[in-house]
Amino acid sequence: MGGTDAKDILGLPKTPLHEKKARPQKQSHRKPDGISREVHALTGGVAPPLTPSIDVTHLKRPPPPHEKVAWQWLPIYSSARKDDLQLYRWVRVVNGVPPTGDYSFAKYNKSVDILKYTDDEYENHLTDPVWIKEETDQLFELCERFDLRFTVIADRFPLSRTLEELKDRYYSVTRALLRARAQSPSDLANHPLMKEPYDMTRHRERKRALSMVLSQSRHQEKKDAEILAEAKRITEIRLAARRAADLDVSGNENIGLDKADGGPGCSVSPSSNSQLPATAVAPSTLTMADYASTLASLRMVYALTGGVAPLMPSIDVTHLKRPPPPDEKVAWQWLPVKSSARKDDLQLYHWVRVVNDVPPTGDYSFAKYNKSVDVLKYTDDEYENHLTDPVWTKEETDQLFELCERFDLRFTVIADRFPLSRTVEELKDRYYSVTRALLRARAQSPAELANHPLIKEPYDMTRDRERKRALSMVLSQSRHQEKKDAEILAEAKRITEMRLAARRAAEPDVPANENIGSVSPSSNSQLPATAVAPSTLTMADYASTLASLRMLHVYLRTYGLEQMVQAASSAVGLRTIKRVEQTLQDLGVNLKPKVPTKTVCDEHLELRKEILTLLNLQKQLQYKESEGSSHREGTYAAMPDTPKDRVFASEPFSFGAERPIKKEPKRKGPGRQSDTPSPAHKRPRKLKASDL
Amino acid sequence: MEDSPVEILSASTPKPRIGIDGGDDNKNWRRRVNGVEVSVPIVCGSIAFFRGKKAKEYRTHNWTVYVRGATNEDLGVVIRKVIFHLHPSFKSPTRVVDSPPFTLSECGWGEFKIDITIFFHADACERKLELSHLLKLNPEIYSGPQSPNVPVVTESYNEIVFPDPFECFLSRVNNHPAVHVSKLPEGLNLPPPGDADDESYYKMKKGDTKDHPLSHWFLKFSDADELFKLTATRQKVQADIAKLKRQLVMVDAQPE
Repeated sequence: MGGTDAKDILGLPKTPLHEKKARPQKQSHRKPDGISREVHALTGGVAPPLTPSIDVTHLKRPPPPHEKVAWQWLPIYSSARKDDLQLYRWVRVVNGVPPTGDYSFAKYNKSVDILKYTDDEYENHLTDPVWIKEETDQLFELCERFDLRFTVIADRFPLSRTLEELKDRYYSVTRALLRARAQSPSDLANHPLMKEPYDMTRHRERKRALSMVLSQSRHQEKKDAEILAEAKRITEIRLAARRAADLDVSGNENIGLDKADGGPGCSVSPSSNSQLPATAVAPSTLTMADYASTLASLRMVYALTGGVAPLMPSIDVTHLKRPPPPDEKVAWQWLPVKSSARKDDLQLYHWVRVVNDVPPTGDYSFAKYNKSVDVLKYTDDEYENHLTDPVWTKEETDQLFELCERFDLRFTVIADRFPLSRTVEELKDRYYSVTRALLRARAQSPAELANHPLIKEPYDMTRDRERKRALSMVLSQSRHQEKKDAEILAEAKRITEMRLAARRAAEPDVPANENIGSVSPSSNSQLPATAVAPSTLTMADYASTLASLRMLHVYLRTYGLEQMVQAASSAVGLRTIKRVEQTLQDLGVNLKPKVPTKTVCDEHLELRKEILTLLNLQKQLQYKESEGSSHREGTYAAMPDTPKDRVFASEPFSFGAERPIKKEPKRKGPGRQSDTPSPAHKRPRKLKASDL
Repeated sequence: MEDSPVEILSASTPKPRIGIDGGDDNKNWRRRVNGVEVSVPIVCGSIAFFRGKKAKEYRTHNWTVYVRGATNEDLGVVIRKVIFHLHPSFKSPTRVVDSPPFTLSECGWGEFKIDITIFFHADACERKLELSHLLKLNPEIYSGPQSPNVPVVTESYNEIVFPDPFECFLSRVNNHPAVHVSKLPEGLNLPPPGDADDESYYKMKKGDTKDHPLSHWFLKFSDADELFKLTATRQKVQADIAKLKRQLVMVDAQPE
């Protein structure tokens, strides 16, 4: 009880000094009378807000002294009873006066007003293709009797009708009757049956759906909840996207242009926009949704970092905030600037930080960034001798070089300014080839040239173009495509690695391949169609197994045989392997040779291969015959009605197929399991017996 | 620039037919001959004698486990040592036999799987080879009490295969009775044996099992029966294949 004994032993104070708080007093009330202490405690010590419907105290109260209560066995009269059955019960009689009034439960004897129709009314309004008059009469009688308790009615109905059908019939009859009997349509309008007519299909559906929902397992419930949540999310996203797209109809053209900029020339975008008007619209909606989602994800990422940007500020802010040292006297003066970068004599001024009246020395601080490229200039002779090109004229080349000089080899600008429309790659190509040719022409010795970057790595126009195209493709991929590409690349990598390993190992093994090759042509000649696919597979398997065996540098012959057998059986299923082994056993051959010399092992392998082929052929034959037999089945079934010629037409088939099929029983002789279809060769024999 | 990845690749795969292992100074010694296979037919087995009157509870059988040449030739030409891993209930269960004949005799009462590890001379192969043998003391079919004179012999035939052997190894074992060498390519000049500085072989005691005391119990293995059976079966299967092929052709030719 609170560990008071322990506290006593330890010498601790029994009541913790600092924990005494004023407990909120309003929680526990005095337990009301009439309910036990335990029950009251269960409610939490707070009296329930409901008042009991029966005032219990009333029952426990002793009767008032002036009343004399007696209980008597008296007959009861109930207005609910139509018959004259006299029943008795105990009645509380006060002062000799029996209670008056109807039997207290009589008021619960409600009944429904079932409309009764005459035969004429039935003929005129109530006929139904599915219901006959007798049935309808019975239905109404039951409805009257059982007060529209349709479950009971359905149970008692002599014919088997579903509950919904009964309801439907009852309500439609009643509705028709009402309509027929009504004086004016306004009477009817408020009738509940008119306002909400019974719809049988709806109820049936409702009940079915309800039973499905109620019979779901917990697992299914969870799944459904997830699906609904997902659907809700998706619809919300779609709505948001559509709303945003509606606002930004004019934005899609901008997007189209932005994409093409910086890529292979500006010529791409106008053509693409004109050619694909339809597709430009759809991407715009997508991009809006993408923007929304990227914004959301960015916000999430920012939140992930804890709201702090991880980058260090590049400028040391503290340095700026430092007050200047006291000995320095700083003044700012408007002074002229001399920059080595300027070739003209334009005199510019700027504010200069002057310390102790000494202006700063040295060049303008940004002058060092004025780099320029040494663009080679060629003479006309050089052009004639080395630089002529079928596509480029001298004027064009001159212009190109002028622009290159002017714009420091910024080819995007040059391409923009070039008077004729040339792609950036073409301009680059021309410039570099000209420069290279010039260098080669001017060089004293080839040694100088070898280290020139332009000679070591010449510009390749097609490669550049390809690179840009591939880059733009990669960058414009959707996320889905990206994932797919990654998967495909991984797969390709794996395949090439495997192939490389196999090739490297298999390369010196040219004579061994010939060994394998010598066997397969013989089998190939017999089975042109079927053997091709499996033989190529197994050849590759054998080659790789041989390669791996060779990697071992030493192995046991039995191990080698096992590996080869496994390689052969990797291409086929387990059942086929079992059949091969069964066949071997039937033929009296050891599954693992007892004396595994090289020849024995080779023969064993070949035998296994041949058995595989045999089984394959058997299966094929089986299929073909079952196909044929299904055709024959048609003619055979129609035999009693068919004319004679039809029967004769099927005969040559049985004739031709007979001979080989006859040999089947012979093949069964040596105890080997026959996989040929037995029904197939029963039928031709039957035909033969009946026809010939 | 585009060619460099391809170049790197070709440098890693040796193109010449005789692969080069090791450094340039071992050029002659370490060349492998491709397309040639050296196989050593061996028999791995055990012979168990019931001790008869001298049998005690834990020493009922004298048994010998061995790895011998199939024709009882000296395996020391290829094998450097054999380790027999006995059941842990034996004292120092890892028994090393480093000179031929590679046999081990013991006394015990139980049957168990013996793992055998074979180590080869350095010029043959640097890897070890593992096989296992189930020691049988009692005959399969009970035919009365065991006689101490009639042993239970369990032998299994196998072949150790060296694909693409080293030249020096090939020259050493070529024409040795214990070793089968597949057809050598023409024009192959093997260095004369004795050039190799693999001393382990020359230091080893030579020994075959031809005169082993148990040699008259050894089984003879011949592949003739098996080969005969296999070729006969193959012919049969080929005939069946031809038959089925004909049937298929006929079924295809039938009108539908």
